[in-house]
Amino acid sequence: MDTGDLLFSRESVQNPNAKEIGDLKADLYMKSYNLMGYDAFTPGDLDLSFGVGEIVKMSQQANFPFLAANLIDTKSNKRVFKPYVIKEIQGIKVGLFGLISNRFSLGGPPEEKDKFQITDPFEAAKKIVGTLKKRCRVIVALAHMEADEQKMLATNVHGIHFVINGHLTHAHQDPQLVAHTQVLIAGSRGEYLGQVDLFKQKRKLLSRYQLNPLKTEYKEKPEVQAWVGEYKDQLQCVLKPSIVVAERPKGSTDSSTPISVPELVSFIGDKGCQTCHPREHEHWATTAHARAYQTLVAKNKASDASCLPCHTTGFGAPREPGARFENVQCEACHGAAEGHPDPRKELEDAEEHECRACHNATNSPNFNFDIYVQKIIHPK
Amino acid sequence: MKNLLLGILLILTFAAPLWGQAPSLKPDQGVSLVFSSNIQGEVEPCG
Repeated sequence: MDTGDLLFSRESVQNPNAKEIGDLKADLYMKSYNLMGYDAFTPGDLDLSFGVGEIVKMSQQANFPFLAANLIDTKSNKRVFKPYVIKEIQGIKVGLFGLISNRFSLGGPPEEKDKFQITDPFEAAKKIVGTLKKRCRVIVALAHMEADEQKMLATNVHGIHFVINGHLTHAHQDPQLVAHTQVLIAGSRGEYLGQVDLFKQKRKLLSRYQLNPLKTEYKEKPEVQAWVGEYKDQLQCVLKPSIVVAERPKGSTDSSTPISVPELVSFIGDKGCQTCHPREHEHWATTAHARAYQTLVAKNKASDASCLPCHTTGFGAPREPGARFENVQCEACHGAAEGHPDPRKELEDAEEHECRACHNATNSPNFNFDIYVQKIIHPK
Repeated sequence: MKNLLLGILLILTFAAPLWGQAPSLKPDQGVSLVFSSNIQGEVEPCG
């Protein structure tokens, strides 16, 4: 099963071509999930960015149900998706039901406005759990919601054995026990698969939880490899180039000449920093950060919106979300330089947690802050 | 007395190997719930 926020990250959903990219990804994921034998999916707020209609279309490609007990078509007052599914495995009946937080707003085209509604998830959960209790030995909530809401769910709705969280992205090695419910959080970006093993011991049913890191040593399925290749080819067709390269006006060699920076306002680009910080810029140009964009080009992923935030600078910034500068430039670590060198706009060094946003277990498994930071500190 | 000692020996012989062992997990009798979350559009590591 999957608990949502499948198609987009907060940054990639801002890409001007996000909807087209999302369509390609929906096709790729549904084919792959069908092959893997997924049993259920509950959409998250990011999946709903372009409207409920898009997710209904996606569900039609799936061989498994989409679950949402509290996503309602306001005209018919019926649920858009099934609220639950019951799976009987080895004689154990497991009830899976889906919930989406009603704090999230639904995106989508104007014609969908007021057509759908996310209702109170706790009220919906009470009704569904009441039904499932009569029929199932194990009850699992696929809950796309925030931390305090999942605690409220576990505390106020009795009978849920596991709350599997979507939305929260920091993986927890162990279950969080809230009342009699285990809350499970398996991280983000496919770094882990969560796994609950249930086993019978006399009349009792016991459970054991583990997080499985998805490392690169797992072999690819040939079918999926072929689909990923098709996806990459199609991706190139839908994307419109929006890389911005800061350049001085033609014919100008004077470093004091203002740099033309089309579209971007808050980020000035490395050439802008070089004017006053030539030594630091020279050092930066020798680091891996200065080649970060080329690694995407080499892998034919230079237009993948899920990769761009960590290989460019400024991508996803509020003013021009689709624009960015190539590579991890000065402003990726020191912040947007608009207004600098005004004394009120002092720039600061990045903190470790900001580095770890990109140097995560999947993309940078050997990352050691103390060692890596030495490679980018500018010489005095 | 002889019967008592024989009884204790029999108990130790058959029960001892079971002491301290974790309950055996039989994969064919278990159920695994496997899940992913927040894939966020990741198709493969970016590089």
